[in-house]
Amino acid sequence: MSRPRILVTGGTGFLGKKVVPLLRQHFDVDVLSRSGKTEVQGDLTLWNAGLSSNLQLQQRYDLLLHMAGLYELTAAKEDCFQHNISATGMALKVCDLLKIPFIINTSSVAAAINTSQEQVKPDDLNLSQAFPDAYSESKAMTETVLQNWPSDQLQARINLRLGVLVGTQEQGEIERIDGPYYAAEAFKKIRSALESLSTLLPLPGSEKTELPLVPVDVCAKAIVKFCQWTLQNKPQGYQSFHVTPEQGLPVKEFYRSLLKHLHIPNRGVVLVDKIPEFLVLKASKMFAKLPEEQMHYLLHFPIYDSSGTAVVLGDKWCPDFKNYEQVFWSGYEKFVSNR
Amino acid sequence: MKSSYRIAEISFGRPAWDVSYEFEYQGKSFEVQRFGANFSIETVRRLIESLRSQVDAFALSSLPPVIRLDQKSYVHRQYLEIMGIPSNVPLCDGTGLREIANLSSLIQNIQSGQIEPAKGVFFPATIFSVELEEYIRKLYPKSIYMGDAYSLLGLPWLIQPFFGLKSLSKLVLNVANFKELRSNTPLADTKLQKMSRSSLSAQVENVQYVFSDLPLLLLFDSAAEFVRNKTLVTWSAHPRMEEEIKKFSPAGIINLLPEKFRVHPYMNYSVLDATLRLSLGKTATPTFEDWEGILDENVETRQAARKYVKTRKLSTQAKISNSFSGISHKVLGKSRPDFAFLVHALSHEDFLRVPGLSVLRHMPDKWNDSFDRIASKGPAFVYGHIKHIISAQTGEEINGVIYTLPATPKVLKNAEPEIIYRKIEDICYDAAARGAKLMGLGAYTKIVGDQGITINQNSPIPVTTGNSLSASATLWALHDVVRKMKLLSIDPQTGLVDGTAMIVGATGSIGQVSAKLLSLVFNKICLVAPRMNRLLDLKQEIQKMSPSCAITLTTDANELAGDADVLVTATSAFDHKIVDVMRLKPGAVICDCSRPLDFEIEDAKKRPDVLIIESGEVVLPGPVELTCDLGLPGNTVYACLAETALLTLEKRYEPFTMGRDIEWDKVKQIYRMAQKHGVQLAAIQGHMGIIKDKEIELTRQLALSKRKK
Repeated sequence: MSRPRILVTGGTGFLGKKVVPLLRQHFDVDVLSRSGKTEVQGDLTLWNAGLSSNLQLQQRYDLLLHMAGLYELTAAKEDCFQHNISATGMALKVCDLLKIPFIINTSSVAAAINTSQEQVKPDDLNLSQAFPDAYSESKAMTETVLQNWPSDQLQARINLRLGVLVGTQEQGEIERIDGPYYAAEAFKKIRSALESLSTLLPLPGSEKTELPLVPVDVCAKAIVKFCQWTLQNKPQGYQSFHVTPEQGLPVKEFYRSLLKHLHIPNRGVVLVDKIPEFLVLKASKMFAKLPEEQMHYLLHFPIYDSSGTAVVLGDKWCPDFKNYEQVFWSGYEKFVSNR
Repeated sequence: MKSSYRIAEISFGRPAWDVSYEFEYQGKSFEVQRFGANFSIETVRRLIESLRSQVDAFALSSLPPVIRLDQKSYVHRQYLEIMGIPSNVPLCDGTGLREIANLSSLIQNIQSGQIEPAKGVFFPATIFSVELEEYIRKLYPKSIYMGDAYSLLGLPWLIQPFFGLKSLSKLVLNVANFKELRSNTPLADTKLQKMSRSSLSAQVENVQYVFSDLPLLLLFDSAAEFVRNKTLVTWSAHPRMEEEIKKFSPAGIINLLPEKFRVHPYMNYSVLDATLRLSLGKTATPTFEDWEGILDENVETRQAARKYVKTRKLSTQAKISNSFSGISHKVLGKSRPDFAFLVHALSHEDFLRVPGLSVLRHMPDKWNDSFDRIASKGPAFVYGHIKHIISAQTGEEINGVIYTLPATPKVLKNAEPEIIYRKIEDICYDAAARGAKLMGLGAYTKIVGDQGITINQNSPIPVTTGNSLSASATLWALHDVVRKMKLLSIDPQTGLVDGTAMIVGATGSIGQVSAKLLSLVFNKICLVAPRMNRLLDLKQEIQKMSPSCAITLTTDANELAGDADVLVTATSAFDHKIVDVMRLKPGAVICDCSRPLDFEIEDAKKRPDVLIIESGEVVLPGPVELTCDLGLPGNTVYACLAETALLTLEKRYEPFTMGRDIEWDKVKQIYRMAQKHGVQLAAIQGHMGIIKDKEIELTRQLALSKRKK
């Protein structure tokens, strides 16, 4: 019996490079990219993704895994919109053209960053509140496109809101400074100030906030499992999932780990959430060179409801931070520190 | 004409309703894809830039509407900015079409009893559909209720028409011009606003009809209160939108988009605008009368509708919007030129075209030469820009800067070449500093001294004379006219045109290539140049290329001018006539490639039976904007400028054409580039403007009658 065939976009990116080899263990995989070095040459910013009426149009695919997109919190609106929203529209059109019955889209927890709820469900979106950056806005809008795209032949659209991707569980391998790694850079810059305090260290954040960190290799396995689940269960309609740990990493725990890693002596951490936010953002940027966008996320992560995810992936699919804490920091030092 | 078209619908609104679909209209197939820009002009610009070489038209929807009030049009600055984005394919937004079609549908609906305005009509935002409101108000003045105070200002006042409403509306429009259309409407948020909305909806409880564009109603987040149990009259419904609005239990929905055009459930006026233009082959924006004709409504309806939709003047607000956009473009959008081009005054008359110098007309003629000499001492300056040249194949856009030397050919000829070199080199440095990567030399600046070689050696950026494309364009134009004159036959034996082509200035740069090209087409050519030894060299070269072509040589054009069916002149003579026009054969076609021109207007007047064309005029691809007067009609440019632009599009920053000789291979290469990027031969230019087919036919008739005599 022949294996299911999957068309993949974004297969050459940071996440894609981890996902594609795993996918190939279970499926026949064609990667669509601009590079000319993958199975299918195409470009989601072109009309009909640049696919001509050639062989690709005759190939039958069972699923489109759409991972292409721009991940950059400081990117311009037009870049985010073109590479995230318009490109997803084009991916959906590719499904129509090639009669692909299932699409799995990789979104981000950023899509719900402007929520006013403490716990957010996977299909909650708040379009009446401003977004902190064009990236999160584009991710939220992309989800509306995925949800509403009229198509007679698409049986199901699966949306995966991925958590904050960090280095691999084995080696801590990461490609660039991002998310929590920025905090390490910031702490290095204000090390002397931190060391000089003989009291509890007052750091921005809330006791309720948890960081939804997911090692990239764990996330890759989760995506592959979602592909298998989709093709086995053949769901219908639109379904969204938070690919985030059952319990995120409390901010205070993260600070403690960071201080320990940097060998900064301290008497403990106290979280401060009463100072006006704009002051926190400006001070962090000015003194610690921590980008405002990054700090905004650290202050505002809601609790992501991942109960539906556990049904598909099982309990404990994502390890606790303490299980890969050592590797996380050694990966940071090896791959991105001092860049 | 094509039979399948691509339309990219770019909505200024949210992307949530993005869709892709296909339909057939009048035997042609259309493929449409919608892209939502979420109220970002930069996103609209990006989408247009990346798709314009792949689609046949853009349908722009959910733009701030053009409002017609008191026979004036009010245009939001965001609208102007979007419609000003360069595109080589039409930008269609349905303006004009929408108003006419909506009003016609309304009239028909009232006549058929589908809509009974006497039962009360509520416009949540009248300002966006003034023509419908005005029409209903005239027939049912007491039935109109307006929610504009709420929708524009957040105030819960229901307005009924009153004296002075129009003046107030104009005032509001002027203010609204500075308010940007955004995604998050403040009208939905606060408790106070929710109370205002409830109060307003209570006031219109007994009204039967709500007239509104659906996206607007959904933006207000107020549909629940406004449409429950009422008939919604709209003009932008599609299945997803209707699904959304049905949640608020309207009694019914009437779509004013004419039934006959609803060839797909997602059709809207912007897409319809693009569809109609493409299927009719009309890429320019249709006029009011055009739309009337296309819609083909009955005359009575048309007359009833006309006075409510026809605009006569641009409002002050629209003019302010225009200036605002212009200024902000200048301040913010200053683009770096990709190439530079140099021209100079072709005659004393050119100085008179410079703003402020027209008073020189009153100066005695004998002072002209002195003035020209003094003016030439001045530095070269940026004369203007050529913007939005967009390759038809790759969609890449480039811009150029045009410099001018304030010197006439006579002054340049008498000046020391070194002085001219230094001036041009200064320009090259300035152009390089501005970001230009290639410099093109126009008119006499490419003839001076060693024809660009020294200038290129000393310039920080490569320099080209543009003569390769000039040669191509010359023959292109000549071929077009000879074909239309129908006076020459083709020899069935050789396949050559049975006639004589004379090339004056044959040993010059353009002359040599013209001679070679014409020797491939004509069975006799006559080469004219001042030095016989160079003519003999050229003859030998051409004989190898075209052994069946008979070649005659002369140093005096007038000697054999009477035998020429076609005459190409490419000289740089300043003070004397090279060819006496009276000696020419009736029906001769003259291609005057010389700068300054060899033939003057008087020559053309003396011989209406010969056709004199100027060579080298082409149009570049894209919605080209030329901010200075090159002395050519419209956006027509010299071929040498076009060569510089083409090389820039190809990223071939090299001294492509240099020196006296044009390379045969280069002429072929540049012609291929011109074809690839969409350069077109301009309407053929004569001494007195564009030569139309009618004039060619008239010349032909005169020539035939003179030949009979």
